[in-house]
Amino acid sequence: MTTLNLQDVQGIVFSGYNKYMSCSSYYLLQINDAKKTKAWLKNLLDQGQITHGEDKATDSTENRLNLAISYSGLEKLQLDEASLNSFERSYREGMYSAHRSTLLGDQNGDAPEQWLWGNKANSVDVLVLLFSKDASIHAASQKQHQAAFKKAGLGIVWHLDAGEKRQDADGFAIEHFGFADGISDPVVEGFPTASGAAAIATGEFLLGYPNQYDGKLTQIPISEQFGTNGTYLVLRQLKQDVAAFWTFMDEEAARQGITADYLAAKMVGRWQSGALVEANQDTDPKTVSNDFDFSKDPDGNGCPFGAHIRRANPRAVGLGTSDAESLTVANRHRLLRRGRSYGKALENPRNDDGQERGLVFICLNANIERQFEFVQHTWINNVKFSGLYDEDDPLIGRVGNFTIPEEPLRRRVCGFQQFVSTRGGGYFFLPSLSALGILGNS
Amino acid sequence: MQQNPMTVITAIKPDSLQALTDYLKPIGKDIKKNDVIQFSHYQQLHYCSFFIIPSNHPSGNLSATPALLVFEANIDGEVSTFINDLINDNSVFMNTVYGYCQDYQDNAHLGSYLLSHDYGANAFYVAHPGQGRNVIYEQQQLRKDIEQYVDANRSTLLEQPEKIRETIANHFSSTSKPKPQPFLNSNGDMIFKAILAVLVLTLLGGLFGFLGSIAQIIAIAVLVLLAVFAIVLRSHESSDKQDSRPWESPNISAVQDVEDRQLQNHLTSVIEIKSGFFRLLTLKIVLFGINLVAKLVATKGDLSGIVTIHFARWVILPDKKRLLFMSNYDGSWENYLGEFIDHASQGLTAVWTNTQLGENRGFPDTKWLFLQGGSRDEQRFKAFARNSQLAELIWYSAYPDLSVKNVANNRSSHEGLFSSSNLAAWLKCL
Ligand code: HEM
Repeated sequence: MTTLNLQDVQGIVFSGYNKYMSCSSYYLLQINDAKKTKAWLKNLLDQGQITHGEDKATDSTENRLNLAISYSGLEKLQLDEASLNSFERSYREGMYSAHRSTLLGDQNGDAPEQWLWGNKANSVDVLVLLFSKDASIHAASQKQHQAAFKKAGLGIVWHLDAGEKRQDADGFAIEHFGFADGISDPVVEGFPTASGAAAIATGEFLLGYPNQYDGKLTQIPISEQFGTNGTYLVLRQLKQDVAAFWTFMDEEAARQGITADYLAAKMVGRWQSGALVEANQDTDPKTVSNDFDFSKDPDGNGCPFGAHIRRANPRAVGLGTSDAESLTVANRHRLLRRGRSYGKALENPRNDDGQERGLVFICLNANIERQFEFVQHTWINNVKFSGLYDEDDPLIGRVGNFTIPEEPLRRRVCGFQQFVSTRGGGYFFLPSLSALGILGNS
Repeated sequence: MQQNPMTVITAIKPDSLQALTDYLKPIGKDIKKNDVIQFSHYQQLHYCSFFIIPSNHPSGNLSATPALLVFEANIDGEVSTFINDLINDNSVFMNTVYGYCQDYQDNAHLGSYLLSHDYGANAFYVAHPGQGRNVIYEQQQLRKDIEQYVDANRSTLLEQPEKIRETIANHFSSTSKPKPQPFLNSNGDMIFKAILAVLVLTLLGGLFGFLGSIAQIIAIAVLVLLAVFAIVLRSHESSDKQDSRPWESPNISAVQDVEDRQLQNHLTSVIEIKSGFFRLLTLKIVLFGINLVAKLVATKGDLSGIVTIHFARWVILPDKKRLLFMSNYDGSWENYLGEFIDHASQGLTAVWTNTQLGENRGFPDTKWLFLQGGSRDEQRFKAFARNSQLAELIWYSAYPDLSVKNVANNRSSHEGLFSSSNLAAWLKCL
């Protein structure tokens, strides 16, 4: 049993604050004066403004704040070379670097040169995540922090407002295409949120703890004191073209003699309610559950192999000679998702209003290469995933082909456009509170 | 037709290293359109690569040896035929390359020069033994045609499975029947088990005296030898030091630069064999075992659970001091190394536990050759593998858009046109 010092871990590790914080904003900042930034950091800590795991929200909680730092940020905070080199390679190279872009599929329209932020020209050093209980509190908080950034020598490169959340009756957030999101979340050993048997070792999401490989410790940057209780945070601004998505579903469904909801559900792997797509279903059963491992659907007749959730987490099928082996392998590549939608919901999902909206995709992991990049490259983008030939994730990919296994013959959907594109992104380190203290005092 | 490994290893003239690099590199950068050599001409060629092993790789221990040029090829049929085809077809390329190498004479002697420097492989794995390059091409085209036909006619095809098959088979009735697979693909497994059973029975029978007194003495001697081996092994293992230095060698950027440019990748690893007779012997025995498994058991696109390797080989370098590993695989390096750890950590630990990056920079601590430790130490193992890697100058794949599973699926699609024995599975191939 792992016991965590919750006070040392930033709160976003344990929760996306969905229950009490209806508003959030993401500030992407550049350090222009390291000395001032350090003083600001120290001040935030001294005032107890950085939310940690012990700091439980209640009805009266107004704000939450977390903070992460990119590699260039650490450089500007003047860490020495040996310290800098002790971080993992993907983090040091940065999401925008040529090799990482190839792996992530950020090419052509998605290439870093096209991004709004996070590329060479608009590099980002610090990420501040602000959450508030309601819109008016949020407005006040934003104003106050923006003023503080200025004094701290921090320039705002970009910022994203999640705005007010959409939620369904079960309390799940609804992303812009209209699907319940945030359903499947790894149950992690030692997390206060984990009740019952935890499936995933602490070291997959926090540095300094046993991981999924025989309980080895994932490499810790700098020192035990600095690295323990920290983790890596991946952020991607993913624009969603909602009208194009539903317009295509309508047209293709008409061509194939099926419904748009059926086609879209097959692409996601869940119906809009969040219910898993199963074989011989034509409509949403609206029974949401995460208690499945695909072993009852080995041929993908329910949830296609190529569907988003089956790629993002193949569970017990296809990664080994037995269900158990496959599950073991799948669980070495899990992500803690902590993002939210940005931009206003599109009123009529078939009718574009010219405004940008999408997902602030955020995930936490102890090893970016083995977790986030692996999921994106080897599962989501991989046209050969699960024995397929020429298709990637139909929801968030770029290829535009999709196979739906059906009896007696598969159905194929071909030549559709890309619905999600990358607008910015970065790799960050989410330090423990003690590490932030070390940085603030350095 | 059988697939064979060619591994031509030649010493580079000391003053020609740069010139050779400058000659090969641009070809590798533009493998499809360069005007020096078109590898797709050679219809027996599945994969090939050229790379240089610097004299100081992986450590400075061997600096007296010259840099080596390695030309790896995975081919259908005989190595000598391939070499002759290359020399006849593109003598300029071949003579330019080997003109930079020691002991090269002239075009007339080039064939025998190359053959005499071919070290083949100590262990060789082929995902689909018997599948010639042209067969792979033909079956890919056939599968595409079937796919298009099904796409265009799906609504009218939707009937009883047997009827669907009949309609499709009729449409493709001019297709010729697939050649039967090599004998070992279906029977090797049994032969392997039989060999093991005979060995164990002989040993036991000998031990208990059922096979006469001479056999008994031999059996006891074998057991004593095994015990001695185990003791010596453990004493080596307890004094070996795993690599605890920083994680990365300066090579890695160069290696990353040539990685992930397409769906498949090539891995080249050169590593020192730990010093002394014992480690070299152990390594040879392990490679012999792996080669046997590859020939007899792993014949269906699956090397002990790894389903992404097209061709792989291990070669002990002529200096007997280094081990070369080459692999042509699907997907990313991270995935490949992950699969190794997830599914094949015993075999790979048994090989690489005999190696080191340099003095006191050994493979991750291992117990009992493969039973504990070794590659199970995920990050240390990945770092070890990364640090042993070299970037290739030229790498060619005859079918860069096909995965190991695609090749198998294409063959099944083809076979199903002529047999309804596995109808449900066949329909899923389409
Ligand atoms: C705009 C982009 C995206 C949209 C609209 C989207 C939507 C969804 C939806 C509707 C679900 C099912 C609900 C749930 O299980 O929580 C889901 C699950 C998931 N998504 Fe995404 N997603 C997006 C991008 C990504 C990216 C970039 C990744 C990772 C690289 C990712 C990884 C996952 C994972 C790991 C799951 C859970 C799978 C499981 O454990 O069953 N998603 N996503």
